[in-house]
Amino acid sequence: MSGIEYLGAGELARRYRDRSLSPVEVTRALLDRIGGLDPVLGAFVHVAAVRALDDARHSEAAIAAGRPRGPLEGVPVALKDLLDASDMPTAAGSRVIGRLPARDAAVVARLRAAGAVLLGKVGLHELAFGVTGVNPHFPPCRNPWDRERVPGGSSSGSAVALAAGLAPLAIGTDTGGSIRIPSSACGVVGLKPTFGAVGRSGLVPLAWSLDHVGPMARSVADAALLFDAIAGHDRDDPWSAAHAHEPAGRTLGAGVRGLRLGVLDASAAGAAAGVDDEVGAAVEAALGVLIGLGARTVPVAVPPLEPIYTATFALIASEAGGYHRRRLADRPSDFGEDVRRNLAIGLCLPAADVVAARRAQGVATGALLRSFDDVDAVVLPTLPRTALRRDDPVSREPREAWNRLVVPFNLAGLPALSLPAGFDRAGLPIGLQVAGRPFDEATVLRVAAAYEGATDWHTRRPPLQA
Amino acid sequence: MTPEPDEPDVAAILARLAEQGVRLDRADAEALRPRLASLLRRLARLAAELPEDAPPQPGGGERFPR
Repeated sequence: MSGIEYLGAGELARRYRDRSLSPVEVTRALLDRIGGLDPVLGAFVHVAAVRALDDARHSEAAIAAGRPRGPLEGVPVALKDLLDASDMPTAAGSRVIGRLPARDAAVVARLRAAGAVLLGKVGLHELAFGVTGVNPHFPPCRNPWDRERVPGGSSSGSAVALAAGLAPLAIGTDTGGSIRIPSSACGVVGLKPTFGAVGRSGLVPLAWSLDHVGPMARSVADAALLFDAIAGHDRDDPWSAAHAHEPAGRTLGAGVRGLRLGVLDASAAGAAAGVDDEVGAAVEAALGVLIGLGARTVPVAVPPLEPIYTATFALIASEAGGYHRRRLADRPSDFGEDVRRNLAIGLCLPAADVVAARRAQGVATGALLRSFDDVDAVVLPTLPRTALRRDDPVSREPREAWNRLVVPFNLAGLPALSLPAGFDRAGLPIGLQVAGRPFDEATVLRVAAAYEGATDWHTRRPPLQA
Repeated sequence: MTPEPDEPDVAAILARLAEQGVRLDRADAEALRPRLASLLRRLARLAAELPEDAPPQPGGGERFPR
């Protein structure tokens, strides 16, 4: 271990400024670590070593000249292989997408403009359509805390790369929890921004109306830094927010004194049912920490989760089925069994049922927005239980499903973040979810930063030998 | 009382997919049938519980205009 592997982006920027580290030194150390650990962990599907070192030299020159291009100058980033980068293949975790894009995705263009060094592409659940990260087309991607456990998905490689010290920052995408689920399962920080806050052109879609691109990191401050670098209008994404992005990281240190934090009220018993005792206890303890820091908790009603889950799955399956229909017709055996069947379910849904799901989305969004009338943020578990064993089936029933506590914020498009909040008896990370009002990532990050500052869960590292 | 949708059978699933140019094995259709049936039942309940005049979520443009 060189000591570089777990330095955060903010710390790297400081060390570059005082010349105690250089982008080339850091990039080389991380590439070495990827070479040593990734054959076992399976986070990366494409390592762009030559280009990364070239970019690092460019960053080094820019810093030496006193002209850094942006806040990520020389900071390595891992990119989920659902996004195009002009010098890397895009496979979307599949055998049916294989393109060498001519253009960068909007988020990649923003990363390069901010000075980031792209280390390569990290893997995902096939076509981002699943929550485990188990992908039949690629070598296993393993949870660094227990290699017999799944990393969670779909942004599995992003979370594993962060937890294993292979990259200080990563980009994920989240359609039904795909940033927050692996962040929780691997003990890192992941923010699903407000729908429209981060541009999506150059993204292989899972479901256009629910897809979000967002930052993943090992600390809330790094997630805020990355979010502020990638947020903003994307003229090639018709659902991109038109207004200028207001930096969300500026109020990170403002604390939570006087903030009202929503907690699930008694009517949300269905939401609480099935939450593992250790996860429930960790979230209660986290609320105690936030109360100790001056926050006030307010019970809030949330709409029933089962219709939300049902509507979300119907929309994802129908949009994904529509997008992949021709490939499914031409090459059905090139899809994994599970994804092939999910896409087929989408193609079998009657139009009136899809419209009902879209109407339910409107109703649920209104209800969730009303739950923020009297609170500044809502705090709840990310996952009902910690990382599953590789051979555990993921329940498909809404009541038990691994993603039921995260999908409401996809359906409504509200910002939501997961951060480490403890470990269970098996040593597996537990995630705390903080959700906020539309375009109020600043408050979400502020609550998370206050909690993180009072705890040390985010400093724990998995047992790995490079 | 929400009327239950008809249970899709394997032949109907294969036919519905074939209409769209997709030809899957019978094993696929048999495996997905119970999940499709469960989803259709849940969607029927969801539709029945919606306020009659609830519109779909707006699609394009900003979902949360400022």
